[in-house]
Amino acid sequence: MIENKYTLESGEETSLSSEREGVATKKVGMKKILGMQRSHFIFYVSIVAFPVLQFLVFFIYMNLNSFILAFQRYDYESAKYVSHGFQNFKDIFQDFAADESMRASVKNSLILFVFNLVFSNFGTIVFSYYIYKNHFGSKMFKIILYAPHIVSTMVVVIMYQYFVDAVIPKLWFDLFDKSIDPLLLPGSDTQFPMILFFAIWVGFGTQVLVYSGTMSGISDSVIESARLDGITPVKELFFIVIPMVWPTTITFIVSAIAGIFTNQMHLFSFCGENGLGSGMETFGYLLYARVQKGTMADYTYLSALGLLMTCVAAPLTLIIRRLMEKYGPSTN
Amino acid sequence: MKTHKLRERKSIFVICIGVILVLYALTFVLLFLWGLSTSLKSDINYYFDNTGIPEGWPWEWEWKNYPEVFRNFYLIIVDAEGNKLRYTIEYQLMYSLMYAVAGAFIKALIPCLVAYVAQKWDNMFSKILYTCVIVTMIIPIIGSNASMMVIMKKLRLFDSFLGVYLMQASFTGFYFLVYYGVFKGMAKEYSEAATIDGANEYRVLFSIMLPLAKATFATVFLIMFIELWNDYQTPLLWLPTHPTLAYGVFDMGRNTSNALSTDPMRMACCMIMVLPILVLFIAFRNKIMGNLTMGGVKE
Repeated sequence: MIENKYTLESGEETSLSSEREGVATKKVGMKKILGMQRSHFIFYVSIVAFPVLQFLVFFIYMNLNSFILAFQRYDYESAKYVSHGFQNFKDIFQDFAADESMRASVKNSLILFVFNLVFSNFGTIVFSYYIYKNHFGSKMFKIILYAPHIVSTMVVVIMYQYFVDAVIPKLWFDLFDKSIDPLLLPGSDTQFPMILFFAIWVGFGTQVLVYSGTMSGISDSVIESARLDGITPVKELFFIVIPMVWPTTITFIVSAIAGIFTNQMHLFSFCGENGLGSGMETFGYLLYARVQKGTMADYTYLSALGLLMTCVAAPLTLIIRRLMEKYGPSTN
Repeated sequence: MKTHKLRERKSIFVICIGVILVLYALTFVLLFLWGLSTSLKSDINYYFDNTGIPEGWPWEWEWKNYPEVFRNFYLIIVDAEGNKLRYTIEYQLMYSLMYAVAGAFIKALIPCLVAYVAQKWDNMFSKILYTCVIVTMIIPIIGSNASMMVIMKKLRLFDSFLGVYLMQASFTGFYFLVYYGVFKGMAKEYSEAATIDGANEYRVLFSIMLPLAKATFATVFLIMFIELWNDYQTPLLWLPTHPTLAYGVFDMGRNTSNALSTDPMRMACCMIMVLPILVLFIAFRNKIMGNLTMGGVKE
């Protein structure tokens, strides 16, 4: 007697007789492809159908459309997008050479990235270490560092704006008997540094939670034995903690690299659309503000700009991730 | 036996971090106290003293700034046909709730359901779903808003809640992995017992597995709710004629022509915006700030 063996979901093996072979083969074939019974298959499809469709439209088709738009222009007469070759890319390269906004966005995005890397990422590790070691006030500091993520950015921006523009000049005058201009005055030398400071100041929250959570997973025995050997807190941080949480560091540094092209530095909250042409733009701000302000004709240029940035960001993040994984600190 | 724990060593390094953290905390707390104090000042009091506490006894402070905000917190939007639409605080609150509650529910539910089936049936399609999540997290795709705008306008979903809900109904992202881990760690006995008792898959999911994952679901929902409640950029871009409270605060920050253009009024408005989230955070802080890990620890 021919027997077809297959495994049920529970792992129990069963067999089918030759009389039912025709039906069985069909069923077994289906099981081999999807690994589930018919009723389970219907359930599976009913759950994933909508999310998969959503993914196909709002991720696959959207990105495909973005790619196509990059090579098109909007024709006002026919109210349709028509082929435009590489003209959008040519325009972008010309703008990088001539347009002050584009040049400023390259410079500002890189400045923001460096400050984020040095202050946000390193600061976060150091603060998280303090919280992980449960030093004085750790619980309170954890909440306060996370607070800017709880409170609306717009609210913090408004309070910061008024405080910096009205209160600091007054305090300065009271203390030093000298008057200074509001620090966020449009066009002033202090405006960009104050916005950059704000971006760093409110940027610790989630990273601190993740780092301190990850650090709490470090085995106590490792720390205890190092301490018995007389390790100092600085050495403990650099030679034990950082190497142990290196996978988390890779994730955040890779996100920071992608952030070169997406981080808005809260500029839209400070300036709205008026930040365009201010010389303080970042790529993230430029892309958001231009879509927000733009018309159907502008979307092709912006898609081409997005495509160019993706072409730089995607391989860059993958290479950096690979290098960090390969040459990062060893736990040995 | 008495357990002996080594005392944490306090070096200059640790003290320095502590001092920096105290300074950081002071800047944040002082900013909020200043905002609160300003919200309770009259215009004249603020003009002559913008740093100190409000003049007089607490019952003499300008508490009326708050009802005044409720009366005057509106924004005017010009729609595509050129009509001027006036949105009062009630409308903004309603849109905020529609955006944040429904949006958070969708954003918490969809990855949960997909993670459940992908974890339960480890077939080729589940592997594809998992790979999609990882790939979308690893490879940054930039500047897709323009294309999304074209699609939304084509599908007539632009400026509608349905369109935003559809955008939010993505199963990809960090929380898929969180749910995946949660379902993987759950004991199979409950679901198997229910199956033997004749429960179908829907019943197993909705009556057994989802209730078991409710703590994670609630945490994700809360985090998403706070994120969406505070988000003004998505409504500004995708729901231009459905302003939420955050959108209203953004508009107030730019607008100088209404009754809320004075500094004390603006601070009162900020405090009103912060209050519900602060209450929510205080009530659920342990859930929201529970241990998150990403990437794990090297062995």
